[in-house]
Amino acid sequence: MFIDVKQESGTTVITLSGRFDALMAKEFKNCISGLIENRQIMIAIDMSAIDFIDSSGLGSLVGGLKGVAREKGEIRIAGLSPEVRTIFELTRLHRIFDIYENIEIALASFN
Amino acid sequence: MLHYSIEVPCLLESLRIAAPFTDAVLYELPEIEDRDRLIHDLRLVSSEALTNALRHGESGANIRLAYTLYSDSIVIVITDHGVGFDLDAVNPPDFEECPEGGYGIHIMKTIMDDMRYEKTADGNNLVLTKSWKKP
Repeated sequence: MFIDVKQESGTTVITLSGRFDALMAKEFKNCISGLIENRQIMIAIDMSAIDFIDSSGLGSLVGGLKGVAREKGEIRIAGLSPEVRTIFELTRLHRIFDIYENIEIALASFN
Repeated sequence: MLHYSIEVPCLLESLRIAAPFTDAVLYELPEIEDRDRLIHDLRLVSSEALTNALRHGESGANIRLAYTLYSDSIVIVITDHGVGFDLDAVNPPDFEECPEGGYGIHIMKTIMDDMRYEKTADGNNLVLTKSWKKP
Protein backbone atom coordinates (compact mmCIF):
# COMPACT_ATOMS: atom_id res chain seq x y z
CA MET A 1 0.00 0.00 0.00
CA PHE A 2 1.19 3.46 -0.80
CA ILE A 3 -0.06 7.03 -0.29
CA ASP A 4 1.58 9.86 -2.21
CA VAL A 5 0.59 13.53 -1.85
CA LYS A 6 1.56 16.37 -4.17
CA GLN A 7 0.29 19.80 -5.15
CA GLU A 8 -0.80 20.58 -8.68
CA SER A 9 -2.07 24.06 -9.65
CA GLY A 10 -3.67 24.69 -6.26
CA THR A 11 -5.19 21.24 -5.94
CA THR A 12 -3.88 18.47 -3.70
CA VAL A 13 -3.47 15.19 -5.53
CA ILE A 14 -3.45 12.03 -3.43
CA THR A 15 -2.33 8.90 -5.24
CA LEU A 16 -3.27 5.62 -3.57
CA SER A 17 -2.05 2.20 -4.57
CA GLY A 18 -2.39 -1.36 -3.35
CA ARG A 19 -4.98 -2.66 -0.89
CA PHE A 20 -7.25 -0.02 0.59
CA ASP A 21 -8.13 -1.92 3.76
CA ALA A 22 -8.16 -1.01 7.46
CA LEU A 23 -4.39 -0.53 7.47
CA MET A 24 -4.37 1.96 4.62
CA ALA A 25 -7.54 3.55 6.02
CA LYS A 26 -5.61 4.46 9.18
CA GLU A 27 -2.88 6.16 7.15
CA PHE A 28 -5.38 7.83 4.86
CA LYS A 29 -7.25 9.37 7.83
CA ASN A 30 -3.96 10.79 9.16
CA CYS A 31 -3.14 12.13 5.71
CA ILE A 32 -6.52 13.92 5.41
CA SER A 33 -6.24 15.34 8.95
CA GLY A 34 -2.85 16.84 8.03
CA LEU A 35 -4.23 18.34 4.82
CA ILE A 36 -7.18 19.89 6.69
CA GLU A 37 -4.77 21.36 9.24
CA ASN A 38 -2.76 22.92 6.39
CA ARG A 39 -5.92 24.13 4.66
CA GLN A 40 -5.15 22.02 1.58
CA ILE A 41 -8.76 21.05 1.14
CA MET A 42 -9.35 20.96 -2.60
CA ILE A 43 -8.41 17.33 -3.11
CA ALA A 44 -8.36 14.94 -6.05
CA ILE A 45 -7.72 11.27 -5.28
CA ASP A 46 -6.25 9.00 -7.93
CA MET A 47 -7.42 5.45 -7.18
CA SER A 48 -6.41 3.88 -10.48
CA ALA A 49 -3.74 1.77 -8.75
CA ILE A 50 -6.12 0.49 -6.05
CA ASP A 51 -6.94 -3.13 -6.84
CA PHE A 52 -8.95 -3.80 -3.70
CA ILE A 53 -11.08 -1.78 -1.30
CA ASP A 54 -13.18 -2.92 1.63
CA SER A 55 -15.62 -1.12 3.93
CA SER A 56 -12.79 0.21 6.12
CA GLY A 57 -11.24 1.90 3.10
CA LEU A 58 -14.62 3.21 2.00
CA GLY A 59 -15.38 4.45 5.50
CA SER A 60 -12.17 6.45 5.62
CA LEU A 61 -13.07 8.05 2.28
CA VAL A 62 -16.50 8.99 3.66
CA GLY A 63 -14.86 10.41 6.80
CA GLY A 64 -12.44 12.39 4.64
CA LEU A 65 -15.23 13.70 2.44
CA LYS A 66 -17.25 14.85 5.45
CA GLY A 67 -14.23 16.35 7.25
CA VAL A 68 -13.13 18.30 4.20
CA ALA A 69 -16.70 19.44 3.43
CA ARG A 70 -16.99 20.87 6.97
CA GLU A 71 -14.07 23.17 6.07
CA LYS A 72 -15.74 24.09 2.74
CA GLY A 73 -13.32 21.93 0.79
CA GLU A 74 -13.97 19.18 -1.72
CA ILE A 75 -12.81 15.67 -2.49
CA ARG A 76 -13.12 14.26 -5.99
CA ILE A 77 -12.07 10.74 -6.82
CA ALA A 78 -10.88 9.22 -10.07
CA GLY A 79 -9.80 6.02 -11.75
CA LEU A 80 -12.02 3.41 -10.11
CA SER A 81 -11.53 -0.09 -11.49
CA PRO A 82 -14.78 -2.00 -12.21
CA GLU A 83 -14.23 -4.11 -9.06
CA VAL A 84 -13.72 -1.08 -6.84
CA ARG A 85 -16.70 0.70 -8.38
CA THR A 86 -18.85 -2.34 -7.57
CA ILE A 87 -18.16 -1.86 -3.85
CA PHE A 88 -19.12 1.81 -4.04
CA GLU A 89 -22.40 0.75 -5.62
CA LEU A 90 -23.01 -2.11 -3.18
CA THR A 91 -22.78 0.37 -0.31
CA ARG A 92 -24.55 3.09 -2.36
CA LEU A 93 -21.69 5.46 -1.62
CA HIS A 94 -21.21 6.25 -5.32
CA ARG A 95 -24.05 8.74 -4.82
CA ILE A 96 -22.11 11.01 -2.45
CA PHE A 97 -18.78 11.16 -4.29
CA ASP A 98 -17.88 13.08 -7.43
CA ILE A 99 -16.33 10.28 -9.45
CA TYR A 100 -14.25 10.93 -12.57
CA GLU A 101 -12.87 8.59 -15.17
CA ASN A 102 -9.26 9.59 -14.57
CA ILE A 103 -7.20 12.01 -12.51
CA GLU A 104 -6.66 14.45 -15.40
CA ILE A 105 -10.42 14.96 -15.78
CA ALA A 106 -10.84 15.21 -12.00
CA LEU A 107 -8.12 17.89 -11.81
CA ALA A 108 -9.55 19.82 -14.75
CA SER A 109 -12.94 19.85 -13.02
CA PHE A 110 -11.52 22.10 -10.28
CA ASN A 111 -10.79 24.88 -12.78
CA MET B 1 -12.21 -31.21 -0.24
CA LEU B 2 -9.30 -28.92 0.60
CA HIS B 3 -8.84 -27.34 4.00
CA TYR B 4 -6.56 -24.43 4.82
CA SER B 5 -6.25 -22.44 8.03
CA ILE B 6 -4.05 -19.83 9.62
CA GLU B 7 -3.89 -18.28 13.09
CA VAL B 8 -2.83 -14.68 13.48
CA PRO B 9 -2.39 -12.41 16.51
CA CYS B 10 -5.38 -10.19 17.26
CA LEU B 11 -3.75 -7.08 15.78
CA LEU B 12 -4.88 -5.08 12.76
CA GLU B 13 -1.38 -5.53 11.31
CA SER B 14 -2.21 -9.23 10.91
CA LEU B 15 -4.07 -8.23 7.74
CA ARG B 16 -0.63 -8.13 6.08
CA ILE B 17 -0.23 -11.83 6.77
CA ALA B 18 -3.82 -12.94 6.21
CA ALA B 19 -4.42 -11.16 2.88
CA PRO B 20 -1.77 -13.03 0.86
CA PHE B 21 -2.82 -16.28 2.57
CA THR B 22 -6.42 -15.69 1.44
CA ASP B 23 -5.26 -14.87 -2.10
CA ALA B 24 -3.27 -18.11 -2.25
CA VAL B 25 -6.24 -20.18 -1.03
CA LEU B 26 -8.68 -18.58 -3.47
CA TYR B 27 -6.27 -19.32 -6.30
CA GLU B 28 -7.26 -22.96 -5.69
CA LEU B 29 -10.88 -22.35 -6.70
CA PRO B 30 -11.94 -24.52 -9.65
CA GLU B 31 -12.36 -23.09 -13.15
CA ILE B 32 -15.95 -21.95 -12.89
CA GLU B 33 -18.05 -19.28 -14.52
CA ASP B 34 -17.28 -15.76 -13.23
CA ARG B 35 -14.29 -17.10 -11.28
CA ASP B 36 -12.48 -13.74 -11.15
CA ARG B 37 -15.58 -12.01 -9.84
CA LEU B 38 -16.08 -14.74 -7.23
CA ILE B 39 -12.47 -14.47 -6.09
CA HIS B 40 -12.83 -10.71 -5.72
CA ASP B 41 -16.05 -11.12 -3.72
CA LEU B 42 -14.49 -13.73 -1.43
CA ARG B 43 -11.40 -11.56 -0.87
CA LEU B 44 -13.75 -8.78 0.16
CA VAL B 45 -15.82 -10.95 2.49
CA SER B 46 -12.66 -12.38 4.06
CA SER B 47 -11.29 -8.91 4.67
CA GLU B 48 -14.56 -7.71 6.22
CA ALA B 49 -14.89 -10.72 8.49
CA LEU B 50 -11.28 -10.74 9.59
CA THR B 51 -11.12 -6.99 10.19
CA ASN B 52 -14.21 -7.26 12.43
CA ALA B 53 -12.61 -10.09 14.39
CA LEU B 54 -9.30 -8.23 14.72
CA ARG B 55 -11.10 -5.11 15.96
CA HIS B 56 -13.39 -6.84 18.43
CA GLY B 57 -11.50 -10.02 19.34
CA GLU B 58 -9.78 -10.47 22.66
CA SER B 59 -6.44 -8.72 22.60
CA GLY B 60 -3.60 -11.15 23.27
CA ALA B 61 -5.54 -14.08 21.80
CA ASN B 62 -5.23 -15.39 18.25
CA ILE B 63 -7.79 -15.21 15.47
CA ARG B 64 -8.25 -18.29 13.30
CA LEU B 65 -9.15 -18.01 9.64
CA ALA B 66 -10.15 -21.28 7.96
CA TYR B 67 -11.23 -22.11 4.42
CA THR B 68 -12.78 -25.39 3.27
CA LEU B 69 -13.07 -25.73 -0.48
CA TYR B 70 -15.49 -28.17 -2.08
CA SER B 71 -16.10 -28.65 -5.79
CA ASP B 72 -19.24 -26.53 -5.60
CA SER B 73 -18.82 -24.31 -2.52
CA ILE B 74 -16.52 -22.68 -0.02
CA VAL B 75 -16.96 -22.38 3.75
CA ILE B 76 -15.06 -19.64 5.55
CA VAL B 77 -14.85 -19.76 9.35
CA ILE B 78 -13.37 -16.95 11.43
CA THR B 79 -12.88 -17.76 15.09
CA ASP B 80 -12.22 -15.13 17.72
CA HIS B 81 -12.30 -14.97 21.50
CA GLY B 82 -13.98 -11.62 22.06
CA VAL B 83 -17.31 -10.97 23.80
CA GLY B 84 -19.16 -11.73 20.57
CA PHE B 85 -22.27 -10.11 19.11
CA ASP B 86 -25.80 -10.89 18.02
CA LEU B 87 -25.76 -11.14 14.24
CA ASP B 88 -29.56 -10.91 14.02
CA ALA B 89 -29.53 -7.63 15.96
CA VAL B 90 -27.24 -5.88 13.47
CA ASN B 91 -29.26 -3.43 11.40
CA PRO B 92 -28.34 -2.54 7.82
CA PRO B 93 -26.55 0.80 7.47
CA ASP B 94 -28.63 3.95 7.01
CA PHE B 95 -27.90 4.48 3.32
CA GLU B 96 -29.43 7.97 3.38
CA GLU B 97 -27.08 9.14 6.15
CA CYS B 98 -24.00 7.55 4.54
CA PRO B 99 -22.24 6.70 7.80
CA GLU B 100 -18.50 6.02 7.94
CA GLY B 101 -18.99 2.47 9.18
CA GLY B 102 -21.45 -0.35 9.50
CA TYR B 103 -21.21 -1.71 5.93
CA GLY B 104 -19.26 -4.88 6.65
CA ILE B 105 -22.14 -7.14 7.69
CA HIS B 106 -24.28 -5.78 4.83
CA ILE B 107 -21.52 -6.63 2.32
CA MET B 108 -21.04 -10.13 3.73
CA LYS B 109 -24.78 -10.87 3.79
CA THR B 110 -25.20 -9.58 0.24
CA ILE B 111 -22.39 -11.64 -1.24
CA MET B 112 -22.63 -14.91 0.70
CA ASP B 113 -25.41 -17.52 0.49
CA ASP B 114 -25.36 -18.21 4.20
CA MET B 115 -23.93 -16.44 7.22
CA ARG B 116 -24.23 -17.56 10.80
CA TYR B 117 -22.57 -16.78 14.09
CA GLU B 118 -22.14 -19.28 16.87
CA LYS B 119 -20.59 -19.07 20.31
CA THR B 120 -18.78 -22.24 21.30
CA ALA B 121 -16.45 -23.29 24.10
CA ASP B 122 -13.56 -22.85 21.65
CA GLY B 123 -14.52 -19.30 20.67
CA ASN B 124 -16.96 -17.39 18.48
CA ASN B 125 -17.31 -18.70 14.95
CA LEU B 126 -18.51 -16.62 12.04
CA VAL B 127 -19.40 -19.18 9.36
CA LEU B 128 -19.81 -17.96 5.79
CA THR B 129 -20.84 -20.17 2.87
CA LYS B 130 -20.91 -19.54 -0.87
CA SER B 131 -21.94 -22.06 -3.50
CA TRP B 132 -21.57 -22.21 -7.28
CA LYS B 133 -22.48 -24.50 -10.15
CA LYS B 134 -20.08 -27.43 -10.46
CA PRO B 135 -17.64 -27.00 -13.37
